[in-house]
Amino acid sequence: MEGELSDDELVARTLGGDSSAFNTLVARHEDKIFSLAFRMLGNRADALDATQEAFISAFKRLRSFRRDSAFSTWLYRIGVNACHDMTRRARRYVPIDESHDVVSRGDTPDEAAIRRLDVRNALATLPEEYREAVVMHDLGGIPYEEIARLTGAQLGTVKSRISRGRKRLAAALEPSRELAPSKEDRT
Amino acid sequence: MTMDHAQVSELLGPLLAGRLDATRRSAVEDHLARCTECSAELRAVKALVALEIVELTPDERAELRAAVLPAARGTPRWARLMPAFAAAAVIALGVVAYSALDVGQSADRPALDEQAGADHETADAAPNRAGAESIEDTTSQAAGDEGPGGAATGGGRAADVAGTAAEGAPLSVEARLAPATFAATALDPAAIELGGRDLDSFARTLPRAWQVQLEVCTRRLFATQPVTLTLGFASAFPRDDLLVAGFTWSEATSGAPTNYAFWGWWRGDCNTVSPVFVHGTL
Repeated sequence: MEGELSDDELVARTLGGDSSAFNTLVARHEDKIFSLAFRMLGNRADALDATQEAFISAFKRLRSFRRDSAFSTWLYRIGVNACHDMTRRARRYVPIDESHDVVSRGDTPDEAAIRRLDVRNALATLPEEYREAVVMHDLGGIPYEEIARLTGAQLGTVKSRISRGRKRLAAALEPSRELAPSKEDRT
Repeated sequence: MTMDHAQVSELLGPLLAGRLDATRRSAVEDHLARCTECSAELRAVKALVALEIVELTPDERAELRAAVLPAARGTPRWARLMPAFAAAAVIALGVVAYSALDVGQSADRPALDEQAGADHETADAAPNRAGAESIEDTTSQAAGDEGPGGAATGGGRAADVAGTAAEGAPLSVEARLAPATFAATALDPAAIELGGRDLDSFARTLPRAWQVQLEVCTRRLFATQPVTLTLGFASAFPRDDLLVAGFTWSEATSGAPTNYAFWGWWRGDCNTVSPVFVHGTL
């Protein structure tokens, strides 16, 4: 029965002290949040930690949910925040020098292997800032302005990271299509 | 319409989502037809959008829920008490508004009315509006009648909780205006410790719209011995110059919070701060 309730109703019940309502919210959204976290963080253990933090944080902040957006959107942003906090706390990915392009390095066996990676792994090859911005925007549906706010980056930087991140992703996915990184960096 | 790479880049998501009007859509498509870079970007976005959800494994799911659900099981006190808080906020606000009007700020009258409305919106963040209204009704009637609010929504448990709170809550709310009454009841804000600061200066530092739970202690507040205070709720209202903070407290020996209080601060044009104190028994 409770599974048929809307998210908003479950939020109201949770605030009314009904903890089983929150359980239902967790069950309903945990895979989506985990998935987002996994895309952003690149490994399951960190993604699981971030998902836990996101739900606990969402519970604590439930009162501030204003219903001017869907609960899932609100939760997504909390999830993104949790991931961002996590990467800021412990930089598990060493950011790749932005002048370095995975694909442009040519023909070593390592690079060739990278070229065969699927989207998932290709995402993991992106510099952290790029991956974060791309995942937030293209998977999370979070607007540029909000990404800028969440990450503390300039709006122009966010746009640039997303554009470059996508191009690198495309290049990693499609090694046969040659892209000139120097040219892309000028745009 | 011609577009550069950056413009096209921003519109790729909307393009795939079918959210572009015909003009922009054709402009983006024109650009894509002759731009290999942007076409590559589009393919990347398509690949991303096509990504499947990564599901938790059963072990991960169990671990997640073991970490999250206990944290959520103990609903914070402020959430359970929010109906009472919301009602008290309404009262506090009314007192503040009355106070302000009383000193002749008639120009503020409409704004204050709006503010009362805005506070009602804040009350809406409590389990439900009906619950808060029912408490307000109860209070204004100064009687034990719980009002029709809880039943009106038929909203299930949230409404029930609100109704329960309404029955036991502020049947006799005291609202004391400062500074005279404040002094008379020896409720000196400076005597209340809160992280080393008195409440007043603490309140001045609060950002708008925040919530926090923290334990504070006081040596003097309706008790001859120390009591534990939980700051449950505080909110700056749409106007920066009004702040209300709610507390529950209980004597150290009893488990459940039995009292609540609201402090309100009104900042007038002349940099005065008028504390308003409201308390009641749950």
